[in-house]
Amino acid sequence: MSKHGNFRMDECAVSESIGFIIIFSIVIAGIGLVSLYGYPMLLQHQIGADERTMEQTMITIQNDMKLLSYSNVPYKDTALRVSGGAMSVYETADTNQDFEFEWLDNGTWNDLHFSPGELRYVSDQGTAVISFENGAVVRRQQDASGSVMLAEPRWFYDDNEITHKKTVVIFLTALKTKNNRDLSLNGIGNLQMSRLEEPKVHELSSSVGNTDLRVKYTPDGSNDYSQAWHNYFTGSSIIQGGLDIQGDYYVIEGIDQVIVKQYNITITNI
Amino acid sequence: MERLNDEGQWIVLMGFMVCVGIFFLALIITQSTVVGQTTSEAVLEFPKTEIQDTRSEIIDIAKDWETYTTAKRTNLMDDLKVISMARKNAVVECSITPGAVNDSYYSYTRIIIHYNNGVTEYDETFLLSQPLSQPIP
Repeated sequence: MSKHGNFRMDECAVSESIGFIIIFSIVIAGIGLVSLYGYPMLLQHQIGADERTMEQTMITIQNDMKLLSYSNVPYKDTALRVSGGAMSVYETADTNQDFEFEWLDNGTWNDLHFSPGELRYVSDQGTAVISFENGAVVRRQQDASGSVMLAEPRWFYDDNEITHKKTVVIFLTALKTKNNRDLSLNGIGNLQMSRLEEPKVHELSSSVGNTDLRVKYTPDGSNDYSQAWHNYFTGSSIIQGGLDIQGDYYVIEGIDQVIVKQYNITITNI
Repeated sequence: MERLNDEGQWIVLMGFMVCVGIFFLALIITQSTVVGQTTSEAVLEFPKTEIQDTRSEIIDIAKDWETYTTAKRTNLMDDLKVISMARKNAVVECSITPGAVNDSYYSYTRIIIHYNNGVTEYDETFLLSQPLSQPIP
């Protein structure tokens, strides 16, 4: 009893070299675990952070576009950092996606086609593609078919209590570059934009009232954001309950006034 | 055999703790992102002066409403709507009803204003008082 209760036990079998081997293998195992799991996890976080930073940057750009269009500011400069990928400017003429608007105007269907142009960020290491398209910020993954809208454009429907006139106002944002130059950015840069043209206004020529507005979105086959726009049209952002679906078209029925304003924004430099 | 010296074990322990600390700091740094829309931008977007301007114009028009011809009334209202849409992208509707409410000394013009620019919707009913030339005894 006294032999086992004693703190100083028999240490004859304790070897310093075995102790060293145990500690050394723990250290090696630790380094191995960190380089196998820890470092890739940190890298993954870095990619995720780059993509999230880019989402926020796009929303900042959307705010600048709002200032240029709705607040009548002629020039705007934004310093931005694009990391983990590249951001490119696509002109209206270079984009394949198309918005189609139809409304009945004095007995004839008025048909308006619009290619918005695009500011597109494509992640190198990750799979995210984030775009500014027609006033909205949309995002998709390269290997998946869906897409989401991160920030919505300012389209609205107004039904007032005084005259009960139902108005739909649609804002279109077209991107252009100076002399049709191809522009892209990776790293820190300055996005210079201007809007020196007055907006083009398309509206009902007569006040006949009670028309339907039909909207159709045709996506760019290689960069499909149709799910994002579908969710925007059928959600309650424009009108409570969303737009009705009729084939390929999204429809609002029984409106009295349609106003479509197109702002042309020139990307001077990036 | 000589006994092992374990006096320095706290150094190893501190090393582990610092490692864990640095790891968490790295996690926090990767989480940090810039903000998209700042509060000041959201405040700038609120159309306070636009609503005040529209309101002031409409009340000015309402003061002399009864002296205007029907054609002039329509023109004024149409201009107001067109200018609001062109410059401020807002749908403005209003109705002016003189003598909607009366009491012994005043006649009240009822003004209903509706303003909507897609982000902010504003509705107001305002009673504009005008003294009666012949107060009811």
